Amino acid sequence: MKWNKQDMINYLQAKEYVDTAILPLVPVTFEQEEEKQVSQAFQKEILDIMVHELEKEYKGRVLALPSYIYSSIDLEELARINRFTEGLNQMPFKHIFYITFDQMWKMKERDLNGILLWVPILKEGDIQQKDTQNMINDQIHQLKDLIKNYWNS
Amino acid sequence: MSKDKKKQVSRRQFLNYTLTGVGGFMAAGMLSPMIRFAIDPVLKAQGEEEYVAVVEVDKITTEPQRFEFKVHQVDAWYESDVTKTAWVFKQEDGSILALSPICTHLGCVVNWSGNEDYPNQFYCPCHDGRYYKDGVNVPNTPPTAPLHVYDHKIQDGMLYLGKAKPREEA
Ligand code: FES
Repeated sequence: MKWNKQDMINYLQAKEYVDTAILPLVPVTFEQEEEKQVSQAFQKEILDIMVHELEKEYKGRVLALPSYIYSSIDLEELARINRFTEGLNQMPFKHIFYITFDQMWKMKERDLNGILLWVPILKEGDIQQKDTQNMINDQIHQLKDLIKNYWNS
Repeated sequence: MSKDKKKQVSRRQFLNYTLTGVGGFMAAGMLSPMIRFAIDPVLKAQGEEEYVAVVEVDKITTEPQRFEFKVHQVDAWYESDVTKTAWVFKQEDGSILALSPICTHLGCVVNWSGNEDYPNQFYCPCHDGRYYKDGVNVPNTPPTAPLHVYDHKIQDGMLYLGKAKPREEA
């Protein structure tokens, strides 16, 4: 389900079936080179596609949240995200997945209260191109399997 | 392509009219739907069902296969091409059945033979919903209605699919 009115109504009625939340972690920083900003936006675009596809496949069990924006990953940020996650826990969600292309989270994985799905996303490319599309599709496929495995374990 | 261009122009015109004043605004209000009707057959054919070519009929087997096709969708704010999927197979009497993969419980995507324990059923990974081959939901699993069925027609050896509709109960 998505973060929109109709899906929220459905979610609230079917809460016991929706035990999984997906939270995209998206870095947005301005104090860096232009080309890095371009790749940040590009990666975000692809992350959106991935989340969209995951939501479509598992609509009835997953709530895909809007992006969680941050600028740097420090102690303060860790506290903030864990507080946010705590709120999700109360909903309750049994499985909370963070999905991100930012490898800095990988180093902080142990400090997170949800499961980190880190996807190495291309820094540049062209989504209109077949190769890029195939690669993204592969990654989506793996993510689908991964989530299913968490459910079944 | 030229269709797009015309539309852009009409949007710019619309803005111009708006800026010119109320009279202009009203003219634009009358004009722009007229332009849209003239150039946009999709809008004109409202109510009439759109069929999309999906696969050659001779590729369809008695085993359900998954096919994708694109439909053009117009929402309130967006126009987009949406990819749809169908599980298509030949039934015992030779007729073709094209099922929507959307679970009627809460909308996950079902897979043929998606669970090793039930190789001849559609399986929904979200809450273990199941459907028989003909799309009818297996009792005592979460779905309470059969998978929807796509309208279809065959032309020159091609299968065309229309809208997926709830199945009328037998
Ligand atoms: S969405 Fe398919 S069983 Fe619940």
